[in-house]
Amino acid sequence: MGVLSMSLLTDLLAQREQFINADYAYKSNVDKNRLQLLACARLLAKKNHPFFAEAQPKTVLLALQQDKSFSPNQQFLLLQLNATIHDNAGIILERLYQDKESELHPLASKLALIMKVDDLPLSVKYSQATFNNQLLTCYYRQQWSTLHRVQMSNHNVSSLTQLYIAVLQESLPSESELTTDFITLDYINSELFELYVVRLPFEQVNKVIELLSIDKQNTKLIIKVMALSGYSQFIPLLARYLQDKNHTVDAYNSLNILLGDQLALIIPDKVQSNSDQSERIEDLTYYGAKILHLYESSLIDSLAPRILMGKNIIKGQLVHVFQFGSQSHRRVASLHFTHCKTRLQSQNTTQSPLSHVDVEYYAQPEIVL
Amino acid sequence: MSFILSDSILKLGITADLDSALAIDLLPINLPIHTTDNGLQIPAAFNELQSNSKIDRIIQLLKPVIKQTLAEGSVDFNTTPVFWLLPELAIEDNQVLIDWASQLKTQFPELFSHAKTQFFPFGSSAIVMALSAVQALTTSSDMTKVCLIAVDSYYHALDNLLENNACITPETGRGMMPSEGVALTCVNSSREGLNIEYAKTDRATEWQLNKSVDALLYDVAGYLKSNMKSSNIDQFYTPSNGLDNTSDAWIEAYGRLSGHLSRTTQLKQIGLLSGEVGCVSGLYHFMHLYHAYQHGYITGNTLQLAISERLYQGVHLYSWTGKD
Repeated sequence: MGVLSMSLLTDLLAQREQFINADYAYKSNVDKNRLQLLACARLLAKKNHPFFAEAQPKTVLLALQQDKSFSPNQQFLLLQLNATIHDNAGIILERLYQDKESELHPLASKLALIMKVDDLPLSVKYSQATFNNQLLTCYYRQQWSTLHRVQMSNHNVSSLTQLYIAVLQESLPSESELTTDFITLDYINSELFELYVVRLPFEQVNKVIELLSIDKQNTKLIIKVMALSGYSQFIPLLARYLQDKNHTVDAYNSLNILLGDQLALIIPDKVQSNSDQSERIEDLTYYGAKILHLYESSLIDSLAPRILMGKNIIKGQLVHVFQFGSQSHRRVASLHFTHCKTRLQSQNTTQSPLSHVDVEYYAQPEIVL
Repeated sequence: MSFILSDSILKLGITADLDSALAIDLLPINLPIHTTDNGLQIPAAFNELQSNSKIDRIIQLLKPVIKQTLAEGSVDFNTTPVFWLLPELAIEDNQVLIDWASQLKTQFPELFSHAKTQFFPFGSSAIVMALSAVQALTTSSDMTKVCLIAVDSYYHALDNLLENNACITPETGRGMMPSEGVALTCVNSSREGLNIEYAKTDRATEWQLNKSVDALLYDVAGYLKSNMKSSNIDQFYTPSNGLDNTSDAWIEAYGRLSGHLSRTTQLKQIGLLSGEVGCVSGLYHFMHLYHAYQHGYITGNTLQLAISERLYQGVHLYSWTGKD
């Protein structure tokens, strides 16, 4: 029995990784996977499984460190499972903060965020990665005064941490200038950069793209930035990338983020979901011209300036995408939620439609149970 | 009034493990294969027991469960009445019920020490009648705890089922997975926990069944509309067992609930996974949904529909308050 459930647990963890950024997986798939993991962990705990039955945070963390068969992300998920079934996230959090040698130490603040417990106070004494994650948690929780205090105090912090502090303010001060810092610090492929890009107005996004395009290697990222920003003005550019076989797949993914079902009206399902990858790319390139034509003739339905899954980015649409969109759409919706002005109002309603869906959930979905 | 459950034991043909049975929709259990006397292999989940008759088998199924409960000693049967949820034994006359009752009393005298101990021979719908009786008892007296026991087996009905093409064979390709089982739990009145928002029962023969289920769901919809803050049904535990006549009844009436269903409403067809456990299914589904609420696997409102084999039907509408 124990062996069976453990192998099932490993399968479920592997399944999760497949789901994370997929456009064929939906909330119901991920929710089911989460409940299955929990049920599996509970069952193992009942059968006195040495890890899941263990409620002592110290022993739990030690066991995770010693088991090399799981990746750090998976270890972090296992830790959340343990904390959920023993309902002791607070104690585990404290213990994790003390455990400076642990690979999971930088994720301590994420644990607080995901398990919805109070984080420990910010401290520059922690490692840079741990402290930066604490700043992110403050940002997600909209603790502006704390972030402001950090900005004001003249701690001797690394330039990366300075970048975190600069980006994670209630209002973005120096806009696209920060891009240069991102590039110099080689931090353009990060959660922070995504959080930064979704907050920029169109002209600023253009400047970011301009700066990024100095390096040819950044094309993939530029295509992603266009989708994250949500500006429908990027559609013609993405259509041109679609015609370039080196970028067809990325451009398709970005167009899919922006247009959602609208794209199905333009490109036949047969082409979109062709399992022969080289044939698929070949076929998709032909649709670049069609998209350009439709866009220029204003024939794409109800095209708002800023869109996600085909519709104007407003709170209602974001909630809808979060409930019914694919995993890749849901992820972008969560990024938009972090800057959406209406977010505060949505938090005040007693039964938020976003429970277990909270914005925090998705910015780094691979570590969220 | 709310309920919490305690002292639960669940031994089904497919698994004798309580936790596995309660997580059957999340953690799949391999399909069990049973070989009949003629060497036919069919999906069926039976315990390895030698029995001469149904009542003989029922007693054998009950023995380890009762023994375990008495050994644990956490239920005082002098102060806790037992409600027996049994198959529909008393439709034409009472003789079979009388026989069963005397056998049960002889075998398990400890369970008959309380004056309020009684039988509910209404099949899987018996859960609705029994819980109404629990509510009546706990509100009218200072009693806070009632023990529910359900037991049933299709083992001795197997030939009959095969004859009627009710099982999954290479020939039929579809049908039910016959099984058996025992469920025992104590219902304790409490300030938090599971709430029964609405309960109703009906009786109808096979020919009137669809109309009766239609009326039950119509009443549920009416209740949801006028009495509930949130009128959405989030889970619907159906009486599915793989046979068309069981599912037809609720599928035809399903439209009655249309205003209360959403894209996220989940159909819980537990019977397709566990196999047909007869009158145990009512109590088993009740324990399953309790466990799911308790662990946060489900939230909101839950509808349970039970259709007994011959005459009775019942619905329950549940919600949950407090700790999860």
